[in-house]
Amino acid sequence: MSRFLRYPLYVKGNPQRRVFFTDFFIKLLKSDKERPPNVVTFECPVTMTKFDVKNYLERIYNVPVARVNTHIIYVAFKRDHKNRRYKPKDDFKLAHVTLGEGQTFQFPENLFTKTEEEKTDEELIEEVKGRQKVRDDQLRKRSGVPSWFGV
Amino acid sequence: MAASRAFRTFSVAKIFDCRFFPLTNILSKCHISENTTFTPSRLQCSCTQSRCTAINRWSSQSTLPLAVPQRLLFRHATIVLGKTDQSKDFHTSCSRLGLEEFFDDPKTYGEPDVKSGRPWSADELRLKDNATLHKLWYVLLKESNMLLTMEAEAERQDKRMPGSDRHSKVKRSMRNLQQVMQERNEVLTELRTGGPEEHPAKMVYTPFGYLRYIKPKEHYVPMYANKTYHRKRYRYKPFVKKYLNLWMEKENDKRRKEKRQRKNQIKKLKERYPDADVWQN
Repeated sequence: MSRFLRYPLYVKGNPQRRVFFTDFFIKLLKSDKERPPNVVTFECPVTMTKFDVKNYLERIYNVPVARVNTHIIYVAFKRDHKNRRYKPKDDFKLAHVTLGEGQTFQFPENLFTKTEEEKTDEELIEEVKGRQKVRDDQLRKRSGVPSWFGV
Repeated sequence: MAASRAFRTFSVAKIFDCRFFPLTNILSKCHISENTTFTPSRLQCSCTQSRCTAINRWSSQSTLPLAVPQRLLFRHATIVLGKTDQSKDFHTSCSRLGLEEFFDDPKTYGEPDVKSGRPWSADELRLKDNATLHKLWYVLLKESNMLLTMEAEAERQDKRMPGSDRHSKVKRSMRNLQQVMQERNEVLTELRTGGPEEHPAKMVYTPFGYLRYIKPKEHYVPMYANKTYHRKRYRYKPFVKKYLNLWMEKENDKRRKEKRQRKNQIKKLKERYPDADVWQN
């Protein structure tokens, strides 16, 4: 439902609870282990249940879900320079979601690198010529005096 | 003394409640009317442009009539996910859903920077319909999920994420949206109950005569028939009042002593350094 919501008491015959503004945030992680191609790992808050994960993905992202396995990762305490203990990070839950209906997912590579296209020789020559032209224009402005000469 | 102390605890507890349970009111009160159906495909709006402009995408598209906010108060209780006069201006295209939405637009891969607009301000969101805010919430939620995954991946690969300022902007606009929803709820509860809260917190006496803050809580059995509730001692016996007075006397003495000490300290300082400005309370 929500991170900070207290669940209302159940009374028989009440209407189904619906949530309109969830504040659950989930991350899609790259798993360290090798897993089958139809399994995706998510990091989610500890209060999120399996049903929550399933509904979240099916309703918001329209991803069919066959099964959800979860486990909580306990983050150990650390000690600072005054020997006081602190948590470097909050605990979190990992959800391994098996996708339904023969769907597969592969974690995309090169998220932060540009795939450069191969250039032909003519394009390269034009690029070099353009660079030379900029340099020439600068020189012409300063009437042939190089850039290192001057204040 | 007891009253002032109790007031302090009450205010602190109230602040705590507001900070950590900002959505309790909103979630408990909103409900969809039974005739309408919940359609996820309508949540995604106007995805024709690149997704990084989700922060301020609608400001140019929707021109709003100014007479709307008066009606908003009464429309709040039921969110209608159909077409309203405000949502007519929306352009809904076929949404691109799936796990690809957890990643940024492939055009931005490896670029030094991704440009983005400013976050939604609360004043802008106050002009919007509830259905609009509902849609906007999910657009922002998806955006923040995407940014979270990209940040995590960048941290794993030890690389810089382009446009890392987007996340703070999305968070700020989400906070503003929550604020607007809370304001509307408060207005509605004021109409219904005459106060800002539907179930206000209680201040009760302990057996020792102090006041204590109690959170509102649901019960299966109503108060008049609840045995366990009546067994709780939210009152104190009359003989306690004698000790309460003694305690208050003690506290007053302590306070007076502190005041006197502070006064003497300042006096001394002024004698010693007559020209200096001594901070005086």
